[in-house]
Amino acid sequence: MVPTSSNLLAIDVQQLSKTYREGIVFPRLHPALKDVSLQVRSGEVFGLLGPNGAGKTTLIKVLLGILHPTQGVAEVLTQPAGSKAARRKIGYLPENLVFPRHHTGRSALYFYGRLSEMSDAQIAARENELFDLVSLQGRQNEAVRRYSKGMRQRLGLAQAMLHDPDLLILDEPTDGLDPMGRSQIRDVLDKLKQRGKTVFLNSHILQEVELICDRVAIMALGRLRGIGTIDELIRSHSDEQAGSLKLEVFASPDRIRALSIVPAGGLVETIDFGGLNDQSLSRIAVASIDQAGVDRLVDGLRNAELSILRMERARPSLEQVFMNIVGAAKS
Amino acid sequence: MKPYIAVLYDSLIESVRSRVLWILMAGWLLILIALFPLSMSEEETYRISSSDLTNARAILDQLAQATAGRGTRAQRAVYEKLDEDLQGTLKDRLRTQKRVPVGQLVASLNELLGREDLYEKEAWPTAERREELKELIEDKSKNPAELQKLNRRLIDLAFPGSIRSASGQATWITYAGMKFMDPLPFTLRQIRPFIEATLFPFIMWLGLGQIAMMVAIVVTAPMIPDMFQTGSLHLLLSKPLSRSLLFLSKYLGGCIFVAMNVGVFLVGLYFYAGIQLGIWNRGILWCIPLFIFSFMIFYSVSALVGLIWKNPIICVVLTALFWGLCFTIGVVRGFAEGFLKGPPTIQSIVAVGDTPIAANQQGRLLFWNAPLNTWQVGFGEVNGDRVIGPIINTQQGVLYFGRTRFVPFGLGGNDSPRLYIVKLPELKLPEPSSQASEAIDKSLDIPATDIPATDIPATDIPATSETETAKKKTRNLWDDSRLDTAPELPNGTSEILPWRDSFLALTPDGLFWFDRESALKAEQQKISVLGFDLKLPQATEAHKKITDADWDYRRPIAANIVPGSDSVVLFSKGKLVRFDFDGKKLQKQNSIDLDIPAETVVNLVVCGRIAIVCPDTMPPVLVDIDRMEKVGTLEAIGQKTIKRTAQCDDGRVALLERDGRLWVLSSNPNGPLPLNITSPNLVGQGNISSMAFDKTGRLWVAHHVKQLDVWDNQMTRSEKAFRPSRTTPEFLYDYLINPFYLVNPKPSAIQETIQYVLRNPENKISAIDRADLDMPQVVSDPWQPIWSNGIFIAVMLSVSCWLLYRQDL
Repeated sequence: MVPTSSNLLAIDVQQLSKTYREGIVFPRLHPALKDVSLQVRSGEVFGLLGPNGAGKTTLIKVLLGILHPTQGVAEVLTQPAGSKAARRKIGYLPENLVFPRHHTGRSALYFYGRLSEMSDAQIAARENELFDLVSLQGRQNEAVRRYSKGMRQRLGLAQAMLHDPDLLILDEPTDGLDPMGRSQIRDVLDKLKQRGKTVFLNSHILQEVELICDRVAIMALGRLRGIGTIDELIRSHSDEQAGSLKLEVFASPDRIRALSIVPAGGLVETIDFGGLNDQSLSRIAVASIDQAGVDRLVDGLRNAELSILRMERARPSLEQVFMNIVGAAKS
Repeated sequence: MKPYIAVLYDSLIESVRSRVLWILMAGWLLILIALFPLSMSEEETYRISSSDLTNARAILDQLAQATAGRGTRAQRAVYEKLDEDLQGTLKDRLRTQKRVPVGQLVASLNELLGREDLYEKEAWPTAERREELKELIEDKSKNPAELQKLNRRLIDLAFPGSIRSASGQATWITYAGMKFMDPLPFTLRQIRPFIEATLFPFIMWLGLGQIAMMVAIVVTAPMIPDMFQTGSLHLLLSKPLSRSLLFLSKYLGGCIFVAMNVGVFLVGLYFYAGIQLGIWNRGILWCIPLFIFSFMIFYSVSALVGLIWKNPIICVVLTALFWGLCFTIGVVRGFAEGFLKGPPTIQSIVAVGDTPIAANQQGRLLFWNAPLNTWQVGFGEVNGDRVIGPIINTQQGVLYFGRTRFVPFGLGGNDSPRLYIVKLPELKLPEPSSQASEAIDKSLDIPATDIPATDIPATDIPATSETETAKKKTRNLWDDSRLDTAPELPNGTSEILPWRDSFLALTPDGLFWFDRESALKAEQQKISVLGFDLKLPQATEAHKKITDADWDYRRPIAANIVPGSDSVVLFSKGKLVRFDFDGKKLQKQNSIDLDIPAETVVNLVVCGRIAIVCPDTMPPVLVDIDRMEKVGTLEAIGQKTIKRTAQCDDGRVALLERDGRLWVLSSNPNGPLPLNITSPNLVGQGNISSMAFDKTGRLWVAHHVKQLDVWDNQMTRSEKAFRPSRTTPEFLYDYLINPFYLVNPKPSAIQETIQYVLRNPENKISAIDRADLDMPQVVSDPWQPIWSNGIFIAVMLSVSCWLLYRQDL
């Protein structure tokens, strides 16, 4: 549901288009964003998904004022995207962050803090908390050129949070992190969410987005293909009725096959218990079956007085939705 | 401004943490440490150095003659005191013409300086007439320095004209207290301006302007492209910063690296110059911002390139190309200017009727060729020499001029200029009456048309001329066949002055009157074999010294004729002296001690009975030469240096400032000053290089290199203008090289500003020789390069900011 009051929006993008010109003598036009409209509400964690070249980074650059849109408008925290007022309230973690080689972790934090118009006293008040938060306490005086990619990423997150921004734009924040690091980042994002901060997350890791994000937008070929909560997306972009079905039945496969109740494509096999085949236990697996089909199958088994030991009905995943959307866009 | 200060501070930290910075700093410190023991010490010394010998061969010849009891008594006395080795060698020389090393002669003469028995009254009979020597001779308890001074003066007197008289002041170059090389024959006061105006700028130009600048360009080249690394730039741009100010902060941050290098070196140089040389020149510290500014010019190019291509290698390459372009244009323009503006500039003129004859700074004599509308070179296309004169004797139809080597600061080896006598009977005017005033009146009556045309092209010469006169009339003035053989001018001749029937040659050893009869006699005696003269007429035979033996003046020296008389005024060693001619010699009459340092180069001219003494960078002083009293100073001219003067027979005088402004003075007995002074509104005023009055009182003014205008007596109307056609190189200079240079940035011009700030106003660079006054001056507006280059930087940075604003990054 789209809010009607713009003051509740952290990001408001309306019919945004961006076309790159390549070449000087014979310029070629390369559209990167086409008529994109989306809104991110204040206080939510918003995930932006899409394959490479979908236009995600272009959209982030427009929001930060790094790129000028060809058409459309974008507002960030009620300010025009790219304006100084908007940038004051944004904390940004770029993808492949590079720190100047002469910095230590601490001096880098001070440098970026000063660029965010913070006084040294304000930075000093926040630094320990942030180094703790990103698990760099004790390493802050080391030269950043000796940092691992994960450490640099965590330092990048610290600098993005340093000036306590209302909106965090994180481009692949868990890239290069080990599972522990990812978990720590997720914890940080949870804390930010609890504090009412808005997080705009661009990530390739769909499971992570599924775990963290309140709402998700999927882009492909420069267009916004879907937006909403994950449930909404699944509902709207997959046939929820046609999920897979797994049944374990107390009967031999032959007996089940003899009932002719398994839909076409369904698989009936003996369950293997560590090499011991018990002909009295069978598994029925159907990749896609709607609810009516499930009812018919269960009714048929029960009418034949067969016992159903276990039944698993799987619904479509975000990955499936993503694949569906991107596949549809490409086709 | 906090975020931008943070960017600057970050650049400072980046510079401090750069290894290259520390390597360079260490290099500068090593240079300064190596330089620190180098110093100078001034001493009173009368030692003879090889550069003091202006004619070593003549001394050796005279000493060789002394072995046979010939030569002057003084020369024989010197010979007798020489060491035995040299005596033997000199005897051999008399027989075999064996070469004697100059070093051996110098060493032996220096040994004589310490001998107490050198002076013999019979050998130096005039010595006691000289006040300075008399005191030394009579002082029985002379210290070694005084003995050295006496003996040096005696040796100078024994070989007049062959040894440069010693001023007594010399400066040693020392390293860690050790003296090396011969002492320089200058005082520290004379050397300091040279160090400040030439040596320091050169060291800075080479060390900082070239080497450090190139290193700085290479080191700072990655700064802007690094900013454009995706992961770095996007984070910077996400901060509440203006793109333009971020770029400018980064740009200024790059300059911090250079500032630190330049600062360390120049602060070190400032203290070195102050402690070791006694030159506390704050201009050295002013050079710090100037060098940073100089770097900013190149870095603005590097930054723009970095912004477009985002590649440090391209930055370095294109900045180096830009440097090369500026350098090439500067060098081409400098060469062109050197050839087309400096050397061809007219430095003296003589005019007979409507015929101008000029000499330029290249040492060439020029005649006006009207059909070709150009100056025609006559009598040798010689480069690098300086013309002395020319002067014309219209009664004899003879043009005299000398030619000497042009050596800055007078550091010449051989001081004997060659004399040229040019037969120009066409320009001969009717004999004047005995009264000078009548002569002037007569010459005024000569219509210009009576003067034979000088522009007859060579092709017009009739193939079968019947008479010699006809031949002469058809010859061009610049024909080599008109040259008469002439002896060399006396050693050290700096000027020739028209006097009586020939001229006076001014040397530090006296005034010499050229006796043309003797020269002709010697000419007849010479033997020529295969075109080579076996006996050249000697200067001693043709030039008669007409000043007393007790002449005791030294360079810098100036003299001039008192108009309408045979008197001569002379300035040397801070004194103005008048000499009157008694029929045989110029006798010293009276003198006045003017408060002018002895080493100051002076121009001297006489207006009526008022001598105008024009010292370098000091206001001209007016002296009544009859009473020998100072009667005022020309405050209108102030401290501008007068580089040339001209006298008119009607009593007027023209003075030319070094920067090309001309003043005309005339007698004004009733005024507060005895002279009226005006700066007439002439074409080329401010760019005048030379001037002369002709017999009719017209003023000939050379300006803008080769142009010449003839002004009427009132100097209100230009009667004639000589505008030579442009040669191809001049055309290229005016319409291609110079316009291109003007629009092109000129980083090297900052050097002129650096020279300006290094010039200590209390210690002005003064000329050591009068020829120095013709050397190019520092630009009139030393801050002009700052403005022009500042505009270039502003344009480059504006373009960069505009590009950055427009760019999708």
